[in-house]
Amino acid sequence: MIPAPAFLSNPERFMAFSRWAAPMFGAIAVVLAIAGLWLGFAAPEDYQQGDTVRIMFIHVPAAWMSMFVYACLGTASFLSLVFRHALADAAAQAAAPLGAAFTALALITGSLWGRPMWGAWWVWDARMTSVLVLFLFYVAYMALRAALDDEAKAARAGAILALVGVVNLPIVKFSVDWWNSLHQGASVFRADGPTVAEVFLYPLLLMALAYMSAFGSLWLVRIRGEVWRRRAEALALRAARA
Amino acid sequence: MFGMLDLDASPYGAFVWPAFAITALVFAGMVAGALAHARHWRSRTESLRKTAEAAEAARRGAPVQDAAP
Repeated sequence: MIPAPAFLSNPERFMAFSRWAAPMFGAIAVVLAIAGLWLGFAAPEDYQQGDTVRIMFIHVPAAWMSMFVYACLGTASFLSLVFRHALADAAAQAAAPLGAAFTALALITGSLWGRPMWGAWWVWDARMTSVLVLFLFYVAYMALRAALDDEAKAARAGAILALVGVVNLPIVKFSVDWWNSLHQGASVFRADGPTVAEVFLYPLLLMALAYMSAFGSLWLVRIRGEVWRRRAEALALRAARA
Repeated sequence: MFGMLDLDASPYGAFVWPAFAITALVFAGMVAGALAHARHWRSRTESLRKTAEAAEAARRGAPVQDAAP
């Protein structure tokens, strides 16, 4: 019924899997980050950006993760809404704070790069504005979940809001193509291949994989926390009724 | 292709190092937050489960065993 990894739909199986998978992803993230940072600081300065090019190794993966995590949030929300799957709802709820953190990182590090390169901390450019809207969707999702005491109503309302926000993902991705933008266009995921020099591409990809592994680890840990929270609330309710 | 580490970010050090410092702080916050959340609810669940087991044992009139591991 559920196309996602079916063996994970059982909370007991998920807890057994995540118990070893979370630290494994965390260790992989640390190794990849060390390698990525090493190559990033061993790479030569860019002829135009100078040393600010090193901000790209932490900014671009954060920006990619901001969209990837929202896609995870949207998918989990869809599974929760359609199949009423409690673990999918826990996954959605667990993804939101991580996605908000990655999006905030993308905005802050982008601003720190933009000041010396563009001469401005912020411009109301289509890419930057759509990423800010993405951040606001994350915050609104968390605020909505926190505002409703009824877990089922909060899950349903949050899932609907998350699915509305999915519309923003193609806007973020294609904003640099659809509108005149100060932000540069895609330079890695292109039909004709990356246009980034290898000295910058390798550390960038390593850092992107490190961010992805870190998210995998933290997401699993947060979902485990959500499963325990729901078990605790069920036990407390049972004790109150007894 | 890759040389020695170049840690001299001048004249952009005021932008490069804060970007890395903020990233490190945010990651530290994400790790601490995720672990604290999971640990808090795990210990709460275990505490409630022990209480429920003790209450169930008392209801049945059986001697309550020490729940400590």
